[in-house]
Amino acid sequence: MTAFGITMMALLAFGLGDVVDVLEDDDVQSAIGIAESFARANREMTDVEEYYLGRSVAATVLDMYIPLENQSVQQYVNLVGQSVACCSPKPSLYNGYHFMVLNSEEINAIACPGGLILVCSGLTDLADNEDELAAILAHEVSHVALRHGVSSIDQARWTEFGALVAEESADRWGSSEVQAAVGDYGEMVEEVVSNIINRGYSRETEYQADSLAAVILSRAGYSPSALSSVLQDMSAITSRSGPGFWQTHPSPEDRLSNLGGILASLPQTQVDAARTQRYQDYMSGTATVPGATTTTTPGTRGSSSTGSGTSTGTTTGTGGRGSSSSTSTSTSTSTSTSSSTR
Amino acid sequence: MRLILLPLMALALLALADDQAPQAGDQVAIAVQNQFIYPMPAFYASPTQPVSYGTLATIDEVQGEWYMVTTALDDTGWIHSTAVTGAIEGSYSGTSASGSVTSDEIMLAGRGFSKDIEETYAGENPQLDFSMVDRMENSWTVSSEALYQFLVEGKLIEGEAASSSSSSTSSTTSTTGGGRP
Repeated sequence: MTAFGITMMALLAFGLGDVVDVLEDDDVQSAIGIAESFARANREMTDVEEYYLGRSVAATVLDMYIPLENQSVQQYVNLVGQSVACCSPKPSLYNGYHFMVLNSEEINAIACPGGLILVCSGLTDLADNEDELAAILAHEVSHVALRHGVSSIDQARWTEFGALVAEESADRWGSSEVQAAVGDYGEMVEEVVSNIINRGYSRETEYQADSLAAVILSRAGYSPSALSSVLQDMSAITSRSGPGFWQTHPSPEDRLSNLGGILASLPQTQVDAARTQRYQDYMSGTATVPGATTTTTPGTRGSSSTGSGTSTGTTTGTGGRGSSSSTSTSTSTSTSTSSSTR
Repeated sequence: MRLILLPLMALALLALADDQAPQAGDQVAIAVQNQFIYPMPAFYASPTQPVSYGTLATIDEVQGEWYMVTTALDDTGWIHSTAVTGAIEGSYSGTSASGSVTSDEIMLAGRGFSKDIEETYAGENPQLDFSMVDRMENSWTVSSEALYQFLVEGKLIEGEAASSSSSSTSSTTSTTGGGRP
């Protein structure tokens, strides 16, 4: 149904049927057409557009860094990342969430629009266990879910692009329009890269990402306090010079202060020994995921991760995953075939 | 009269543009790539069926953030609410043989940022290596099966067994059938 049709129905529903005749006037229909174009020009960026914008942002970032050539770590980070992403407010993206560890000692991470998340090894090395790694990734997932990347784009620039795209007639969407769109696209890619890498998000958006990360951790079954543990590790760093993180984020002390309230409101979960064990195994390279050694072959459905560690414990349902919360007692003992030294 | 009507129309459009959460009986379209429907409302469940971007589906039941849907190709299963568009108006009810639909959002996406735009941009910026982005997207894909195993091993969900690759003993008592269907 067109906006015009919807408007008619709405007016009828509101008891304003007497103005319908007037609305059918050609001039008024033309005004409605203008209103529709205006609405499209001011529409939000679609998930597909966000994805393609994010790919170019990621390509630009990858021009500055190199990936960590450790397939075990890459696969593990993706497993942890998916574990938290599926508990975010926006678990389904056009092409999903993807994570890559960059070989850089910088303490930094870049959440590109559309779900591509790049994390420097300097930041992952700050984590002492899987829950803290999950906290780092949950913060970046939160930036994506809250669309902080695209919302940092100048509204006037987006509106101008929206007006170009809103052209109704197919024959007016020709090469010159495509070229103009590419120009706008490039400017927006540069703007997002600059916002993320150089200027950083506002303090408020960082606090939002921290708060949402704590909630995601709780829903996922990780310890929300792991986020404050990572921030405390950051706080212990005295040398805060250089580009990146220290210039683009509020101080860890301020973030800890902001996080206090939300953490107090969330149920506390202990860092599980089995998770810490496998964190050490994966990060040290003693645990590997089948099929993760070839980087050019996409992961295949049906693959499974290896188990590691010995654990005995009692768990209760988190309620955050799936549709049903539950209370159950689960006791398992497994003997790993892999060693567990870091 | 028109001076009165135009603000009125704008208000009506704004009111109708509000995102209303789809309800049972509403029709939606799949809005993401590489999507599946699941036998239970959980991403780690073994997928029932892949569904294509743009496929129409009717919501049979709403359960929290998940919808039980029946697709235009008559597949039934659960899908997360963020994987579908909002409710589609009646004029889109006609489906093609493939069960796909071109909603307003999807139509606009074709003219907005797209693969064509990216390829042109990449041609103008040869220093950018998009194969690295492809590698990031394709090299470390996590299957539902791997995710399930990972969550169980990490005690993030309840499951039936700790590991398929190690010798293990396990006893699980669950009131909800927390195991993988």
